Amino acid sequence: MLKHRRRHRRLCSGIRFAWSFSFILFGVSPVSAQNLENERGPLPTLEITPGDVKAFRTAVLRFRAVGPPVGEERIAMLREEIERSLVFSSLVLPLEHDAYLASEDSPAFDEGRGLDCDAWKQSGADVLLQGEVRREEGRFRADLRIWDIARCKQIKVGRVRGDRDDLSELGRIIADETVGALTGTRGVSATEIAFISDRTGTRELYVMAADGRRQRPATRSDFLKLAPEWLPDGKAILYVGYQALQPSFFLTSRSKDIAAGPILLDLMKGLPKYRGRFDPTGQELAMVTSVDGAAEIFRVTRKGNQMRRLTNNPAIDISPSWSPDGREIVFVSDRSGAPQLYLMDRDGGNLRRLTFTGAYNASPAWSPDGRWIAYETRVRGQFDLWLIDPSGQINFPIVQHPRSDEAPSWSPDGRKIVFSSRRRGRDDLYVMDWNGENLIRLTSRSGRNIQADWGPQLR
Amino acid sequence: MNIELVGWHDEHSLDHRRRLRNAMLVSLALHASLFAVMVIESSPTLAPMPEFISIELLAAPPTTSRPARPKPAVAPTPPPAAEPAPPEPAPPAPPPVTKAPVQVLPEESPGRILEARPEPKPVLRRPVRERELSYEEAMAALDDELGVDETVDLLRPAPAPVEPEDSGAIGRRVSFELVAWSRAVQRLIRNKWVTPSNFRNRGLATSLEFRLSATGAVIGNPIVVRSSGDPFFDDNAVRALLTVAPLPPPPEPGLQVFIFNAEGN
Repeated sequence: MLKHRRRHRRLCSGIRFAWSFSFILFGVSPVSAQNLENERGPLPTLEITPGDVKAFRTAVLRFRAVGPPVGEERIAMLREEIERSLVFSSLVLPLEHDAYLASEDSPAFDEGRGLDCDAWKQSGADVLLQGEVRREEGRFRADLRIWDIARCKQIKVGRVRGDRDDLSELGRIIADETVGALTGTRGVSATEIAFISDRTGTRELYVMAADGRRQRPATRSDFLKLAPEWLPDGKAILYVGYQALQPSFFLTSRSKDIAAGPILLDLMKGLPKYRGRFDPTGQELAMVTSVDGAAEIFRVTRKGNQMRRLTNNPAIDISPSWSPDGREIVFVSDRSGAPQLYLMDRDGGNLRRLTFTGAYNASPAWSPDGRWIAYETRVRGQFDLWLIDPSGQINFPIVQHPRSDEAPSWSPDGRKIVFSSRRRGRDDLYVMDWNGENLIRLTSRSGRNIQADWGPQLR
Repeated sequence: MNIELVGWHDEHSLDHRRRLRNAMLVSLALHASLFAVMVIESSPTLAPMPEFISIELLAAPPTTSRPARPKPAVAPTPPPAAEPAPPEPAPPAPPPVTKAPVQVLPEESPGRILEARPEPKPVLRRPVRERELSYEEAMAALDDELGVDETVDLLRPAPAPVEPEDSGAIGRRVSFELVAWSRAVQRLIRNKWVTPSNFRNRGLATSLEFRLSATGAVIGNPIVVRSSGDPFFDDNAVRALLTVAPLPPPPEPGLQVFIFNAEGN
């Protein structure tokens, strides 16, 4: 027995010795297993890169009417309008209703009923939109809930009101809010585009919804109109009218506090005004007028005082476009012998040439985020649309077509561009994503449709 | 036996040097056994991991149906692939450690790699050391399975999966199983991750840390450990991960870091 115990003691001491020796040799200790992740250093890291999925798949439930009856048809129309506007955004794709594996009716919010997220996940939805709609003081109001299906969690709860007793307008606003909840920037289906059309014989100013619907004239008179420009608050549109011998500025307004009609009549009397572009505050105007036979750019307040000349040379300087921070202006000048883009500060200083390729570059439009300037460039006698960054380092085409694409204008969210194109033989307006995808034709009636200017978001 | 008898009967008279020798013998024996255990236990789970595994799927198949069981849509025409397939791994220098694992791989159907995780494949029954491949070897073996088209695309971008200066070949060993799992996961998420145009060209990337169970379930909420600066982009990455969850059973459960890089394509 004693023999056995002693042998055991000796064995144990040997093991202890061996263990401590191994720790010295190999750095292995009994606690190291618990710290495995630390011992191994950085965690395994996997990089995920984008695929081709560019739209959130969304289930849009039928809204629930609260209060006075709204009517089944109008409720259905509201959902149709929401879905149509989501499609226009090209960021959110409504699911087919047949794919729904759960009820397509919004529950009453005060019931507090949960969402069957498993069923919606099986339906293929990333996001779900549900809501209640009611009429309130002559307008419609909607209460929204936007769900993230993967987390089964509400990511936005909100309330929107239309300006009019118009459910389709409310539907566009709801769609824009949904886009905003997923991307951080609201959609633009509730915005409008001003443009010039001669469909009735004279070139008039027209306005349409961003997706091309509800086209209607904003002016009706017998003189030529060109170069529409929204005020940044969206309450009025500036345009150039050829009412007299020389072109001059006019406003058409949908607000009672802005008078429609000619403006800045006393400014540089007798000189033609070809174009005006509001700075981001709407308080100042970069305008193009002709002095001594050469088009020059001036800056002036809306009231017509404190005028400042920004360019001064025998060449033609036209088409100013403000940077979104209002500090710089990009414009077109042929001072090098051919039309090219130039940049200058708002006081006319710090002039530098931006484009060095292409023999004819024109119609610059600065993007709302300031990162890009869209412009047209002539290629084999036709114009293509290109983007260039303000440093001039990056320059690439976004639209290339055998027929001309001209006069780009950015949507206020910077995701889309409206432009005119002759690809169907006559001038029509098209809209596309800024990278050239999702092209949609907006106008199809007779006549030329040109010089689009995308209006601001109003809420 | 002899030593033991001597030691027992005449402990006090035992030569001091003999006792020391006994202890040394025991110690050496234990060391040898310990060392043997360590060598055998140096399985892929303990092998140094590459800090970064970046695998491009530029020729990913169209994502038509359910992403849960992605299969390469382009079945790399079996007959031609099978004929030259038993490829010796690059004539000039076959790696000495791995015994031509690629000889096993072409026997499997191209799609199985992504879905046959639960059942151990023949290659996995081999001794652990034989399963270890260098990153390039594992990629090459996987390319053999996925077909020639993807091989070309995979080689082209050379996304620097491991920083070249930080490694010898030993530091870059990674199991074939891990590479296959990584690819399957990348493909799954790419097919669900919504990246609208306004998330692109802005240099956005976000890192998510989360814990994976052995079955591939995401345990708890993923944590944004490095934000892109755009909360909507971060949120969207979390949404993409949770949409595809559960992931295929990982070769190594536990903490994971996924980098969602909008510019990575």
